[in-house]
This record gives sequence, structure tokens and C-alpha cells, in this order.
Amino acid sequence: MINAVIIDDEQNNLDNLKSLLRLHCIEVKISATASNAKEGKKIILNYNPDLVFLDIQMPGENGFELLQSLSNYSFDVIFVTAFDQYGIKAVKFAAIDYLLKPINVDELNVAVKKVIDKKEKGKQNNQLENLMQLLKENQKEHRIALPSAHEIRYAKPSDIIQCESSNNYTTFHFVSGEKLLISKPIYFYEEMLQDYDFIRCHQSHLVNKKFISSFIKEDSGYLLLEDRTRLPVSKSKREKIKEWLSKK
Amino acid sequence: MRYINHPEIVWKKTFYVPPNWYQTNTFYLIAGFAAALLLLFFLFLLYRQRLKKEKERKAKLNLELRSIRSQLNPHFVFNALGSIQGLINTNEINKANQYLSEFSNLLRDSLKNSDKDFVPLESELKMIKSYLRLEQLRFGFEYKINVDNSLNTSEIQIPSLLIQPLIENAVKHGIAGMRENGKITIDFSKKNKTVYIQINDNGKGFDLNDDSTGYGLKLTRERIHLLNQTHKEEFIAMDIKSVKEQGSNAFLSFKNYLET
Repeated sequence: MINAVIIDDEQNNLDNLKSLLRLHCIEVKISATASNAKEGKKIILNYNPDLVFLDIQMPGENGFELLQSLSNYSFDVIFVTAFDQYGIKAVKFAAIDYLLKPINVDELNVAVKKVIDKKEKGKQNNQLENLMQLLKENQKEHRIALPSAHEIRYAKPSDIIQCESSNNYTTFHFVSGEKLLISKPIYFYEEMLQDYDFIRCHQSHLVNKKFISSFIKEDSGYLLLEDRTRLPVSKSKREKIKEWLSKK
Repeated sequence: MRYINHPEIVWKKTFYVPPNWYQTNTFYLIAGFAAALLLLFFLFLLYRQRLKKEKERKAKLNLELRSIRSQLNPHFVFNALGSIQGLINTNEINKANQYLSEFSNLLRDSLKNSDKDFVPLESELKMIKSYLRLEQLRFGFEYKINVDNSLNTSEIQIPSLLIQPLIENAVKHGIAGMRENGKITIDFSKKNKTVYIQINDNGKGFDLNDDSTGYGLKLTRERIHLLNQTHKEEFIAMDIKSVKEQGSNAFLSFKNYLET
């Protein structure tokens, strides 16, 4: 049995999620609901839940601020949001589960199942600590969560040289020489890493600007990296990349 | 000088007249240099202006492109909501839930992609499938999407919602009204560096020159034309055939959309 609470500022949303859980996720027991961050904090401390369904956008303190005001996280969070680019980006970066409104029953089932699995295996999670780090200003220290088969790796974008795509998988090449295969498509990480000076120079390559040593014009053009790797450059992206490289 | 009485005697006297400042060699040199410099300067101005014009032209093309970038047809949006209302009122709660999230995914993706030139083929496929499932709810036709195994759908990028109006035509002017006899097939394939998309329906066919059916097509044509102008390395071609009572076929090729 999963002991859960729901925090959302709209009564309709609370009712809706409650009834969906009752119908489709019988393992989840809702012990309390709250309609703002302050009450939310109270019910988390009182009921000590395994799982918190948390709306990101709420008047007053938002979902993130509520989490920040807590000192330790002995629970899992599934974020629930309508349309919130910034919030979702941080959540994706931390590889934490989220649901979009209106709620899709299949996605709800998948997210809940993950929480149950985790509880059965007694796994500790530091996903929320990582998210709290992400929400702080200092971008350089941010770590992106890379979930592989056995672990979640937290990597600094500045330690990633490049990402290479093979179908729906992406191989990360680290400064240490290590490689890590992640089962997500390259465009997912293109979106995640574009604020960290990464560029998609080719359909199969996403590269960190920091490690590019030069743009070689011969052949059809390629990027020479500091470790002497050559990365192909798409014809259609040549101009854009030249411009991007000439910027500081 | 010659004397009148002694014409055989010629007396010569040489004068030295200092050249005017504009007659000196140094001046010629400087003047020549300055003229060359001036010429270069004008050429440079001309070049810069041309560069600026080219930039402006591109910006204008991009702006035009943005303005006709496909959006979901409002007709479709509200009809889809109507179908979902129908499911609610006939108490088909699970189906209503399923189609509601289908609809919201489609709407979300189209809003998210509206400011992007290109999207991964995988996202485009997801949107097409959602679109067809929602239309299927209204018209009850059958559809099939075939994607060649060798196509790497997470790496290839195509213009977002470019082919959606063509699929809409296949539904609206094709198989609407035929129920389960209506069939739409969409094929994605490749050869060398070219991606091919083919949309077939067995519907009633339409007049390609008719303005009312041709509006979506006209916009798609314009968009392809602008895309070809702004992305000179690639080339998109479209060919549409329609035969009354037999069906329609749209064939698109995206040259150089694949990288090796």
C-alpha cells in the first residue's frame, strides 16, 4: 500500500485525481489533500507519505518552493502541471516523473508503478535533492540526471564532451573517457542541454562548445575536438554553427 | 629666337617653369592611389549593402514562413471536442478519457512546435497518429502508417506539421462518409539521402483546382516554396494526384534530409 497525499490549488483537480486513483491504482491510498503550499507542508509532516502528487503552479508559494521549505525528503514526488515550460524543464533535467493535465490514465499507471517498485526494493532516492540544486541560480553546478538500466547518474554538463545518437539511444562521452548509454533519443538531450552551450552539429551528434578546438573546412567541414575526435557537420547547419562558434 | 637680318642664326634660351602642384609625379601617385581606394570603398559599400539585403530577404522569408506555418484547423479542434462531448454524454468514460488526453497531447505539441522550423520525425509521427485517431472517432475509417525500418525517426528532422493538411485532405475530401470502407495509408521510406512520404486514400477524390479544397494545398505549396528558398542545401518536392471515385495520392520527397 502506498500512502499518498495530493496538493493542488483547484478542488476539481483534487477530485479528478482522487477518482482516477481510486479507479485505476488501487494500491494507492490517499490520506490527505491540500489546496496550497502551506497546508501541503502541514499534511506532509503529519502524514509522512510515501508519495506526493504536487501541482507546480499554485498561487502564493509554488510546488518547488514548498519542497524547498522542507529539510528532508523521505517521499517520492510526481509533479502535476498544465503547461509550464520552465518548471517542466527542471523536472525533466532531474528525471523526475510528471503528469500533464488532463491526466492520461496510462501515464498515471506507469508513474505510480515506478514508485511502488522503488518502495519494494527499498531504494533511496536523491532525485529531489538534485532538483533543489537545479532550482538554485548557479547554473555551473547543475547536474543532469541520466537514468541508465542500473542507476541514475548525475553528470555536470561541463563534463560531457558530446552525445552520440543511435536510434532511440544516446551515448554520452565524458571527459574521463567513460561512455554511458542512455535509452532516450538525442533530441530529448538537445533540448535539455541547449542552455549549457551544446549544439546539434549533425543528426547524430550533440557537442559541448567547450571541447571544440576548431572548425575544419576541408571535406564537407567537420569539428575537431580537443581529444582529436572529428565530428561531422551537416551542410545545412554549417552557417549556423560558424556563427555560433564565432560568438564568444 | 631668330634675327630678321640673320635668319641663319638661332638663339635658344631655356626657361624652367616649376610644375603646378597638381602636375607632380607624387600627386599622380597619390591621386591614383586615392582613386583606387575610393573604388574599393564603393565596392565594399556595395558588397555590404548586398549582404544586408540578403539578410533582410532571409528574414522576410522566415517571417513569411512563420506566418503560414501550419496550425491545427479550428474546424478540427472544435469537432474533436464535440466528439469527446459525445463520449461523455453516452457515458463512455474510459474512451472519453483516452481521447481527451489524445487531444491535449496534440494541442500541446502543436503549441510547443509552433515556433520551431523543424521537429524530429518521431514527434511528427506522434502528432499524425493522434490526429488520425481523433478523426477516426468521427468518421470510423481505417488507417495504416508504415515506416521503413531503416529510417531513424529520432534523428531525422522535418518541417513541423507540413504534411498534416495533406492528411486532412485525405480525410475531409477523401474517405469522410465511407465509414469502415474508407482507408488511408501513409508510407515513410528513404533512398540514399532522400526521405519519401506518400499519402493514399481510396475516397471520392477532389478537384485540385477547386478553391475550397485547394486552400490547405495552396498554403502547403507556398510553405514548401519558402522552405526551398531558405534551406538551399535541401529540396522538397510535392506531387498530388486525384481521380474521382478512386482516391487521391500525395507524394512528397525531401532531398538531402538524410545525413550520412
